[in-house]
Amino acid sequence: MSGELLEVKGLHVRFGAVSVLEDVSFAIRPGEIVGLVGESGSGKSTIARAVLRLIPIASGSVEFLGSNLHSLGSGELRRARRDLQIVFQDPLASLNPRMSIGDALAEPLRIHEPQLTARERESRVSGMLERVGLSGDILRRYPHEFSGGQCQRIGIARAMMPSPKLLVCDEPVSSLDVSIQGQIVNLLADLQRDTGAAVLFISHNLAVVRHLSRRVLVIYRGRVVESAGCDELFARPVHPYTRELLAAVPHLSAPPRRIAAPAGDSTGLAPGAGGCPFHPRCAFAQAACQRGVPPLAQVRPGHLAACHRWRELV
Amino acid sequence: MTPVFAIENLSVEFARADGTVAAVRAASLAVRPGECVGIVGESGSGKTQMLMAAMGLLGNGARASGSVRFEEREILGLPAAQLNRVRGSRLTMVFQDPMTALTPHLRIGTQLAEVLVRHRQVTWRDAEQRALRILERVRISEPRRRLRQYPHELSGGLRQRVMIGMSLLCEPSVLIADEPTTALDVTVQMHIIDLLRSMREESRMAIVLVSHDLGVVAGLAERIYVMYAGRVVETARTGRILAGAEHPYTAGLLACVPDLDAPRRARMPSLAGQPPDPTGIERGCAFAPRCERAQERCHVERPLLRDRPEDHQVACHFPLSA
Repeated sequence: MSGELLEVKGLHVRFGAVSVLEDVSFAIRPGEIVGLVGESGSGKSTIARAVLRLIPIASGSVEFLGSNLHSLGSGELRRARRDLQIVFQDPLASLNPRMSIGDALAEPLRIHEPQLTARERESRVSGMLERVGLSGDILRRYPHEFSGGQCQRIGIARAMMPSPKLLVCDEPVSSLDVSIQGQIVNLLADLQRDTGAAVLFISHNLAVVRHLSRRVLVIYRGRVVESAGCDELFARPVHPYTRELLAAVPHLSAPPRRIAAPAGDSTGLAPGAGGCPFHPRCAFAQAACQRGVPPLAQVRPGHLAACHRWRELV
Repeated sequence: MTPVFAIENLSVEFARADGTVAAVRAASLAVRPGECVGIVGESGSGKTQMLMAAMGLLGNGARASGSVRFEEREILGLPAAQLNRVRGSRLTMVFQDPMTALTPHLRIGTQLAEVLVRHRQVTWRDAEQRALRILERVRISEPRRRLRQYPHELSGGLRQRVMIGMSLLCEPSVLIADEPTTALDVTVQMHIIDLLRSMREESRMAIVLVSHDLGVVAGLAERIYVMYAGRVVETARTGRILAGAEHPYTAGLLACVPDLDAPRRARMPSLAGQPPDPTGIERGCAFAPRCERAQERCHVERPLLRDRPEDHQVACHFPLSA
């Protein structure tokens, strides 16, 4: 045991001939909140699915509590998943429309703690509902009766029922109003503090990740391009892609920030013939950027960036 | 200047098995030529239904009353045949989800050209030439190749550019953009807002921009309308809203816009509670249950939209300036 709760090493995932994740490595310590940021199609959700072993991987390993999840037998995998829960982006679609809220929350306990009596289950369910800010009288109601924010509270409650050690949240606030997003982010922060669970928080929006994460990984086209402590990343971003993400957050002081170069469309461009995957839309690209994929370099203690020109950008 | 597009006292009701739902309640809004106005509010505040009613796009079981004037003509309740002469050509709309707004089995070029053939009686050959030029205008890379592609072959950002291009084909005087960037990444969102800004600068077209994110609207709109529970609760010029919002709801929305230049806070700002349930009977101020300033009066008497200095209106018994 290395003291890490989750250790992802050299992860490669392919969908047919398309390589979706390339050599992704990161670790999460017990109780740590790690943010994972990138745009649509960058591979964020694929990382979540590979970590939960919902999809097969091409190579690499996902070690959770010291065992490689992708080599476990089905019984062992089921036991491991008790400690490894997920919250999805679309809160309504992730709840069974025909299952009452009470049944949806009791189900993880029926699976993972079959020894509990009905009364014990009920008391755990009511306790959790209260914990996520919902009243106990919703037990017999159905998902369609709730707003998006309330459904997401229910989704979080369900994921927390078996007291997991790691909660993977895949864009949990992206479908919610800006005014409601904070409620959910703050709820996750409180639950993390009270239960000590670690959280992998995935979002395309850096502003959301900022409030919650201790460490942030930035992913672009299936590769980690920058990782640093949260305050360090926001104060001193190095990778041009991270800078672009920061500049794109809408804010109120006019005039709008603009970035130096016109950006292309990340998924509309033909993949560059080798070189840094970001160079076709990078404001800082030079001829040298077409030669070889830049490795993650330590730009400061605990701060990694994959850019050929990092020395000039630090 | 007379407004090119004006909604007056518009109400929208839906008949449901358990009674009627009032989605929009006596809302008014006006846009002058070349102006951009923003509408902000949470899901269910009536933003979209107000504009769908104005465009004559409400489904069965919905009833709209009030007035919608476009280019000095009443268009609310016009038969489809008459409405279609302006809708899609002089008065156009861009929707939130560009995938479902495009026809999946037709090439981009065909869908664009069809608009011109339908509204401008040009030949297919001319229409395709103009489709190519519009893709160049909305800055789509490799426009010739895009014309032959199908919607699923394009990314979300490119599809939304195609939708904006389509809406500009007949040189509209008013473009309604309903959450045009909500489904997109933040980087793509910034480019789409930039695109709308330059399209407006080039053509004097008026824009109605709808979003739940005040940060998005503030970057483009000159005037902002804040909606809550189907009503306009505050409106003023954008600078005035940002510097001196008087409705506690507007102030709450403003506090939710992230400021990356400020030190990181332990708690992410949010509005407490849930957006209101439109099936409920209206009594007092709809925002009162979520409002920190609410007093007895707010729960029994509905505040009317009243004039404040500097072309500013607010519906609150205890506005923040008082």
